[in-house]
Amino acid sequence: MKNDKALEIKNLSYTALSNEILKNISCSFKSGLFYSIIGPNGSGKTTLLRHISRNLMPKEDVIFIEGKDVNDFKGTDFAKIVSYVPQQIDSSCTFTAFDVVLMGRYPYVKRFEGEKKKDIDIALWAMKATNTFNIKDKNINLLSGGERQRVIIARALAQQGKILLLDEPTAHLDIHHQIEIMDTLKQLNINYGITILCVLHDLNTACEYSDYVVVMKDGNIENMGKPQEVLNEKLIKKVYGIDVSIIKNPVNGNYHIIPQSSFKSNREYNCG
Amino acid sequence: MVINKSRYRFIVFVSFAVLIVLIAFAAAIGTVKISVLDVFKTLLSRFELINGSKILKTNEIIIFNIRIPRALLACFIGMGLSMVGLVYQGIFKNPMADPFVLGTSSGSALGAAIAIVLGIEKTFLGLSSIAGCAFAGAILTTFVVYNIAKVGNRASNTNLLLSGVAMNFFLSSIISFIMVLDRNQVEKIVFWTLGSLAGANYKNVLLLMVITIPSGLIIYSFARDLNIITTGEETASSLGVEVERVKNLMFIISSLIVATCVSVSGIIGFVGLIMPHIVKIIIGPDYKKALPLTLLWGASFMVLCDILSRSLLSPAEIPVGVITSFFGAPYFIYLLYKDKKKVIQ
Repeated sequence: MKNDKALEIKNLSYTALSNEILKNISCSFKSGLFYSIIGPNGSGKTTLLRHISRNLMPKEDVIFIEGKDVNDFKGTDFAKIVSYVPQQIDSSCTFTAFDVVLMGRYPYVKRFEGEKKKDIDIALWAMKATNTFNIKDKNINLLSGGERQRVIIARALAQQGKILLLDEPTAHLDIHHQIEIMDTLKQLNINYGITILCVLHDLNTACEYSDYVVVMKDGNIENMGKPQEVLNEKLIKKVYGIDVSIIKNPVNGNYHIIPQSSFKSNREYNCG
Repeated sequence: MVINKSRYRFIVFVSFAVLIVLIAFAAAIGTVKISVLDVFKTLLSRFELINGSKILKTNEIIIFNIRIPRALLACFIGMGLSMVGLVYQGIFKNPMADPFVLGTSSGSALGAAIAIVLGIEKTFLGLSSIAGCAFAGAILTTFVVYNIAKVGNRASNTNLLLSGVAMNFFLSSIISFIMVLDRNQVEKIVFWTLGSLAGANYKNVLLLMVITIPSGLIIYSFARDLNIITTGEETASSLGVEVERVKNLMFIISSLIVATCVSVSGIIGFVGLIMPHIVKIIIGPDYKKALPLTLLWGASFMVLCDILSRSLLSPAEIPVGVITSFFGAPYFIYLLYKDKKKVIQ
């Protein structure tokens, strides 16, 4: 299965209120790999993800999942292949973590039948795989941000899809929880061969975890490829408009990007 | 709080028993006092379960022709309005959402007021033209409110509540205007705006039963969809829930229920707001569990309010809408005060 095309995008454009947000994007994603979508605010990362997840319905013959136009899927059939983790879940709801994960079985349960034992077993498996089993009876709004995010990932896992889309899964989390979430995702990617498309803000997280990075700027894909082949000082200057130094992680040799402040005399000034 | 199955069943059973006892009380209390025991005896003899030779004929007439239909009407109106409140609170993710706040009730009342003023009081197939106009008013108001709020093909909840409140004021002013224009009909129209169960008869009860029971079953069959929608619409549609379709269906069902209730009893506020809210605090947000309890508690609350409306200033009668608001508003404020975090859900 590996290296088959999981997802293909052909000439995707999107205009909202006369703003061109996505400009004729074409690219393809191989199955079983970990992709990070990076780029500055307003570059169209989230809009791209929302099109793939069908939250914004694309035109016909633009986005293909396993060779089939996304328009030709029934909602529940699509949910069996692609699962989506939004930036935030409505934290006001008072369902237990297990109830939320079980909602991931929605596409499999018929209207006039309840969830079967199989669905419950899969929900429990998803919770074990995301290390949320021990909090299954807790109220979702009483969980910490990191725990809640893992519960939502467990729900996406319970959909048993092959493609997992995430919109900034580590936003607002401390570094401990960031690593925990990203490790969980990498495990799912390696152990179950799930294709992951993840919008990220932190370039270093992208370098550590992804097989490929997709660099976006002003509604275009600026470049796409392995982190070490694509990311360099010149590209980052062009996309983000800042100077960076790139060093290697002493443990695994992955790139580590250090942004440089343009205010060079900072320290002297303070001492002065 | 996790409530297990047997405990939940026990709560449902107790709630049902309380409702039956309240209906019996409703049949016993009034200007002619009948003991609760006699009420049960009369009921049983009617179904020939006991020998009814000693039962007073006048009691039987009072119980079966006046008080029981009225109690049953209260029951179904309580069920209908709280059911709509439960659905609205989930879809709009706001505890302030109820048919009254969103203008559905005022729309029905205006429809009814126009029918009264124009004097078109005909009945086809047991449905009065007033009920028809009330339904038209409810659907039209919901449609207009929804379209004012809509951006693209989605209506944000804040927009929806704001346009609902604005519409509510507008419609109420038209109702007042009609009252000033046509002083002969003021009393009848005031009845719609204050809410009363005085017009109860078996025909009304049957009408409400035919509307509320199937509606309840449809809502119950959409319980999982509604649960998921309350966690966020984007997530819901990514799970395959047809969010807009479910919402539209719920709007139509809700308008139908509200219009039927308003055409029979006028605007009764706060029933749709308080009961679903209390149930969700106690039993949790799952529609499958909350809906049956909301129906039972909404019915009990309404029957209780009707008993009070008839007995507080007996033999005079206070409009039941006054009683529900008198209970509802302070209780709501108490809830806000006691647990602000839970209320902002």
